[in-house]
Amino acid sequence: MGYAGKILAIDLSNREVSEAEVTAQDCFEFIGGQGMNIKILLDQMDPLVDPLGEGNILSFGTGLLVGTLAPSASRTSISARSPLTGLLASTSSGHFWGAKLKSCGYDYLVVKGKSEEPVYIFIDNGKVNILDAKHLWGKDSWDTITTIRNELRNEEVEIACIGVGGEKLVKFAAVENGFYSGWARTGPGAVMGSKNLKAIALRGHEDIAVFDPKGFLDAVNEATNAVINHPTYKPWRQYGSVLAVDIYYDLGVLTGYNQSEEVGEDFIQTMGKENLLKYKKRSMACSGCPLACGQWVEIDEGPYKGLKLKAIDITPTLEFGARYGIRNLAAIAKATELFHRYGIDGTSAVAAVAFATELFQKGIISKSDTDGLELNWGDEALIFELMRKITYREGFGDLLADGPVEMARRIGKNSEQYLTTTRGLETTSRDPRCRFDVWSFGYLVNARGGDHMGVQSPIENLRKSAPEGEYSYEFSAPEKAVDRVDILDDWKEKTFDFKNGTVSIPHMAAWSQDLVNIVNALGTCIRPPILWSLGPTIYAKLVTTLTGIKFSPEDIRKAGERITNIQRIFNFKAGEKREDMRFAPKFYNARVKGRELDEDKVNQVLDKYFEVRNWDPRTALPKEEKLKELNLDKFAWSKVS
Amino acid sequence: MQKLILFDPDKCTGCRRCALACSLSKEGVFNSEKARIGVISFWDIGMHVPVFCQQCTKPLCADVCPVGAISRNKETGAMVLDANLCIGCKMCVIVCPLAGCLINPHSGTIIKCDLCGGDPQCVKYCEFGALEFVEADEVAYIKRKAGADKLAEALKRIA
Repeated sequence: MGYAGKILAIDLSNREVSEAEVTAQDCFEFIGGQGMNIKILLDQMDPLVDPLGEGNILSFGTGLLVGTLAPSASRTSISARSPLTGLLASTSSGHFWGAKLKSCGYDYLVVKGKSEEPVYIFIDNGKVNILDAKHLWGKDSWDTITTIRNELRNEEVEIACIGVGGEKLVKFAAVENGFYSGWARTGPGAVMGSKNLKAIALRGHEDIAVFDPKGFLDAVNEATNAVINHPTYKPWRQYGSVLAVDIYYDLGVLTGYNQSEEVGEDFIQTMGKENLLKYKKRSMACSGCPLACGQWVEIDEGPYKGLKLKAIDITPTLEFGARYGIRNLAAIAKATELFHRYGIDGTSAVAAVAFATELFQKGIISKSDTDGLELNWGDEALIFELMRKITYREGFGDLLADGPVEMARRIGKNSEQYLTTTRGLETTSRDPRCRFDVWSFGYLVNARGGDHMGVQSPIENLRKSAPEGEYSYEFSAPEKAVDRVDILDDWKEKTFDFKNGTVSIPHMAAWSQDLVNIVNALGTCIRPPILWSLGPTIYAKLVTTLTGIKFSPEDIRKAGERITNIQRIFNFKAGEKREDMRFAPKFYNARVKGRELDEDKVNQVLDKYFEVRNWDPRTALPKEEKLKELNLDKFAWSKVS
Repeated sequence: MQKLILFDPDKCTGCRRCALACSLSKEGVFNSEKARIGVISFWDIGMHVPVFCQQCTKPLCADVCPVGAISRNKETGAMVLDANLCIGCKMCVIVCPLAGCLINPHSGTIIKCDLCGGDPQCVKYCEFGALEFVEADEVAYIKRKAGADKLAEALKRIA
């Protein structure tokens, strides 16, 4: 009950279609979404597989609550081995594709093998069709969606598809989710393209049954009230995610120009949240969401006049803005249109261009390397042209399309000193040298590499920022803020010392990481109004009343911890060792705001984190007793010396 | 005075909580294909339109029904379909311009909105004010006020 209970597996090499069961035990241990995805990957493939080869498996996993009234329960995860990082490809998206997969009667869609010719999958009320997509190959994602809806004569078909970026195996190609959403970071689109799979279209009318309808609705009401009454709700509804542009700027955690210098006032004046209101017409929501953080914007002036879309979001604003130097919020809307149409990850695309720009400005590469183009900061037309070149792997774009780590390797000349990648993935412009908190620390332990999403704290930004020139690993949180958050008592005790006003970053990071994993497995959202207001207690009620499987709050927490552990196991089996868990050299060697990171201090925090996790600090692997405690012995590995 | 569900596409976010609430309330499951309300999205202009039975004053569905299965509930003003009388001829589905009457995809039976007996769940679960349950004589004020507010904004700037 509450979930379909079925995995649909499609092998594109031989067109074999099969179903497997999702057991109550699976649900209890891994909940859903990314948790179960990783279990499927570990069961069925070698994590060392060639990411663009036939052996890589693309698993689409709906969150357990998706398709119900649980607030924001729309999110679906894609997991595979990433062609960009070699680690877990891990990305989630909301909108309606996941809810529709459940309406087709499946919780998971597992795509294996490789088709000889371009195809698309159409799941139609239980019937799986593998259809010719030669006529779709070469189309951008928006054309693809419109064409498929026309030829299926159905506007309500939900479609996940790749643009040309995925076809050209751009290492950070995205899988688009309708027009304005997508699974982008870590390059799942390239995996899909390598299988000659252009799109997955869904149409279905299956029920999601509810074990205890009255109990579930009570839990839904409790959860929804918590979300809409949270202090972050109103501002998030008004501004969407660009609200946080101002917050991060005020906190002083942003750096610019490929994280080489501080960001000045000109940034916040042109790219701050108030600029959004010029263009915002109304708000859009994903399936079942009471927040509607997606702002529909219409640009009525300037070079992008006439452009309308959902949405202007924070990460493109920070990256195209702070990292690359654009000072025109309307240009972010244009960038958004392009990265969706092209089907590439905007964050990684900017990171590649910004890295190249820094190298160009420092004379390490020149016009002879860049197809004669002069790489200057903040050049809108230039970066849009480079995004096209990346998508088509044209000239210089072919190098950019492999991402900064590979770029540095091919360019040589000691260019890796300018990288801002961490564990193969580009960090965002929230710079760890400005403030070493849960977010910054999270770059080191996040499942998908140096990204900001996996370890987000449910407490408003921790206080005690360090004075200029000094470095603080000490933070505090006001007791009131902590009281408002659902953190289990034993964890609260270990994490917060109210008498001395300190927070243990390793404990807070572990809690946050497990919580985000729970959220990704349930299919709810990490936007603050939800992430900060809901926790294991209400999640236990929601899941128990929906499925009839009994979860206590501790069971929920433990499932989150279990997922963190299999993420690490996957990454270890994919080749990541303890020594790889470090920032790019730039963060240790180059100063910004008078500081650089002290690698010894960072390692101390890491060691404490491993202690909290009960992992071996030499290998960063779960100790045997931790594996047993989480029932993960079946995923163990041969002994590491 | 009888109440009706007033909808505003400018406020609709396309979340479809209305359809989820409806199907759970009426069918005990989450399935938007069994909801008496649906949302049509216009992605080129960024607008979503909730579509549902308007409880017509001259209901074509009742007119065309050969067995008199659809009749007015005097208290709520809703046109209610009696499933025991319904023979599933689908004439009501054919004549309604809004899919006020629709076909349950699993059972093949006809379903329609009955305003939940006077406490419509779709309205309850809309967080955005896109659906409001109002008296008929409130509608003019609501619409005029919304229009006048926009004018007032402009007037403030030139006053």
